[in-house]
Amino acid sequence: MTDRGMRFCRCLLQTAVLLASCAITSFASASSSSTDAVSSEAAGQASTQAATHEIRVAEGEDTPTSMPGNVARNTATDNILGNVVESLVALRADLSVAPMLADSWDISPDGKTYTFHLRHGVLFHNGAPVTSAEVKWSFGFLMKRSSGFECRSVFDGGRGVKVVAVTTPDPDTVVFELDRPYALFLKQMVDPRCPLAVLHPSSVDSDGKWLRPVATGPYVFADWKRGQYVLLKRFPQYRPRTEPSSGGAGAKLAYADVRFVVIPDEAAQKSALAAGQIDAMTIDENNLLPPDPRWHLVEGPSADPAVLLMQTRDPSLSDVRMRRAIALALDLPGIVNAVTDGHGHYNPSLIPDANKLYSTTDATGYTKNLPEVKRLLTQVGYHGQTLKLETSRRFEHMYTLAVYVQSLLTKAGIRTELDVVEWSKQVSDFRSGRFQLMSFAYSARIDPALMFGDVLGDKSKTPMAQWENPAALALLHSLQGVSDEMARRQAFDRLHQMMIADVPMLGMYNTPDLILISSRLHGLTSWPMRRMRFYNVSKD
Amino acid sequence: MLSYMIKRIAMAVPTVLIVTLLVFGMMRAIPGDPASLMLGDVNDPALLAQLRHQFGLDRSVPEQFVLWVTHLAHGDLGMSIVRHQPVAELIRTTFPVTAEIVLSATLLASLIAIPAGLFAAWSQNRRADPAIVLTSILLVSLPSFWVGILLMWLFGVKLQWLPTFGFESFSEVGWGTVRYLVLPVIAVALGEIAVLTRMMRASSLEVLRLEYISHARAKGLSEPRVLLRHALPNAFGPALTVVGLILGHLLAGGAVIETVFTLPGMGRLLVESIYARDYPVVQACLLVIALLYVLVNLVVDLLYPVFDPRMKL
Repeated sequence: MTDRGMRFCRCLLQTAVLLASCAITSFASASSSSTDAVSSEAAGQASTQAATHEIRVAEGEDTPTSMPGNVARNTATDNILGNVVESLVALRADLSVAPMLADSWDISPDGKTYTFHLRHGVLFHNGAPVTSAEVKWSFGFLMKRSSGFECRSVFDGGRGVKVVAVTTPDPDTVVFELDRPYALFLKQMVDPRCPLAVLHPSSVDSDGKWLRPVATGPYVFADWKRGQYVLLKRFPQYRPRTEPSSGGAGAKLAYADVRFVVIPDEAAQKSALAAGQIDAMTIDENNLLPPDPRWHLVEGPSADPAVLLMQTRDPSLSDVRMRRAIALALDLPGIVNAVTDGHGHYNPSLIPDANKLYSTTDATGYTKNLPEVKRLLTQVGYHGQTLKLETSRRFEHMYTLAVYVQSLLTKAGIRTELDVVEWSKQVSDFRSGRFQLMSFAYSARIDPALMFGDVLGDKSKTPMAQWENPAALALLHSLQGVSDEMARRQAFDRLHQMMIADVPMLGMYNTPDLILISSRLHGLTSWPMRRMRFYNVSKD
Repeated sequence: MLSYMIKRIAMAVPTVLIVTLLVFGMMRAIPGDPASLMLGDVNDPALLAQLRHQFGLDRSVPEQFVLWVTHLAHGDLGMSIVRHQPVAELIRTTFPVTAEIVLSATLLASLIAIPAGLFAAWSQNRRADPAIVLTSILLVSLPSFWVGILLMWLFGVKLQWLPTFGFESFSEVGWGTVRYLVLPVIAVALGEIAVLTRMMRASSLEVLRLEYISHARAKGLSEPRVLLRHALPNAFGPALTVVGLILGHLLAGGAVIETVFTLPGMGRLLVESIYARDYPVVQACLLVIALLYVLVNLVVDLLYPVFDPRMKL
């Protein structure tokens, strides 16, 4: 290399180094002035005032809608709006019903008329008082076909009871008249997926098109930058109830504004938590961060049952003895322990163990018994036909569950192949019944009757039904008007025993509710409905 | 020039038409539909039927295609099934984010790779050349998402210099947008730097062997002048093609990095829409990407004669 060449090269390199140093120095100096400022700006916020005590929560996806219960909703919608909207009643931690906007209610002797007495002094986010007129308006709006309310059929008789009339004898009283007695009416009013929210008419424009939720919760839906964040501001005029907080019921105190930021990648969520740029994130059991003083895990049981579905109409699985052989080939508690990394426990029932209706009968399932497996396989004439076990990687625990099941079935002499598909295809196959075995998790139902109702049915009419048993269906239907807890518990016990005998599916566990939170956050609790609530949560 | 442009644009029409047909067909061929996905495990046949009707999914596939093309001809890209927003608006808001990243990354890659490639060629058989080649091989082997996570860990978590997520556009915060772009741009640019360096090195090697370079040196011109005045313009032509391809490739494939850094760009919109089976959004995004590819390649072809006078259109 000549001297001139060397000089040229040096010149180029020096320029590059100089440029790089300038860039890095400028970013560093801009950043080092305040770590908190970096964190707050990271969330893309304009407000500096709330930056220090704002709670930032990571969501894997943006909410597609700001309307509670809209058909486009997802978990993020429920997490966000659960802090914003309220119903006449609320769900406690044990999923029982408690008062919320209604202080009390009376049920007529025939079980068909519910009279709610509204709480005094409750205000909407726009400052207007809550009266029976808004309750009636809200119901009317949600029940319009054009509103896109997912649970419309729950109240129009399609999938539940039919509300024949809503009347408002005075501003503090609202009356719902049903076409028949229905024990689940109150619970269905407060389903976290699609609550019968009490909204102010200014939530929609003059054409009836949805604008934003003007509701009564402790947080106001303040700002939504699509694809990036939703900001909830504290509602200063909120009047909390006096009862102790429990689940979605009782006293709700908003200590800090909450920003739900969209971070689709889980590794990025963890980085943001480690950097102090977010305060809370939901996490998979097998993907936890190592223990650190900067964060800790909030955990609890959920009501989402993870199950192994068996297609009872498939020729290979139509014989109940074959399905029993599969059940007996598996070390179910062992699988659950491995899949959930010790955070979940075996529950063979569709009733979540966090539910007050759960009994010792529900804990009864199958125990691994390989000699019995051999006997049953011989009886059914099994000759090594391969079964396909469908799963996807959308929810990692479903995939892990499938891997363990496949391994144990193969060891027990039942040839099984994994069929890993995309989530959309799995949902499609689930709904059409096109599978042999499937690792699946149902979303939480607020009452066991709803869970059994979605599982039981005639597959020729409802392909997504999993269990065809007319006696069980009749027993379930007989419960519709029954609100006596003991009678319901006995009926659910019987249903569980019948399901264990028929083996249309194997209950495994309720997906644990795991939330990784910053150590600066206090008061966040788990809830079986797996919805994050930020009232009563403070930040240092 | 004008006739060439018209010819190229005319050639693009069948390309785009074939793309639309393929995209439409493939989206409908894959199992699952948005209505079923929305309902998940909810058993409500009436609502399912209502949604399928609302989204036009109860029509035959050819009918759906004709309807889409008819709307397209009127400039209507349709409504997002999941987001309830006009698709044109979604693309209008997400495309600038992608464009900011892609243009910055391409610019950065060009500024580094072109001198590096030229220098490597000039230093052939000396220590600098294999060092640059090896670095290129290393960089091209690193997946951008992995580099992104690594950068995020270093500059976001450990040093806390830069945010690990979020975005504010230039129109909102001016140059403040740079802090959101640094990490994703570096993550994307590194791989492209490697590709472009190798291309530039190869073309520079060819040029440096030509007689007119020896002639320039024999005339007593300085090495920088030989390289910058005589070698660079002629070696840059092939590299320009690669720059065009990089630009197109990044515009189409920025989804991973946009997901890692939570950037509200078009790539992320596309991927999320594919998973949600949001047909109108997927179709429109792919159409825009196809058009961009055609446009970028056209611009590159038009720029070619500027750098290489031997080329005529």
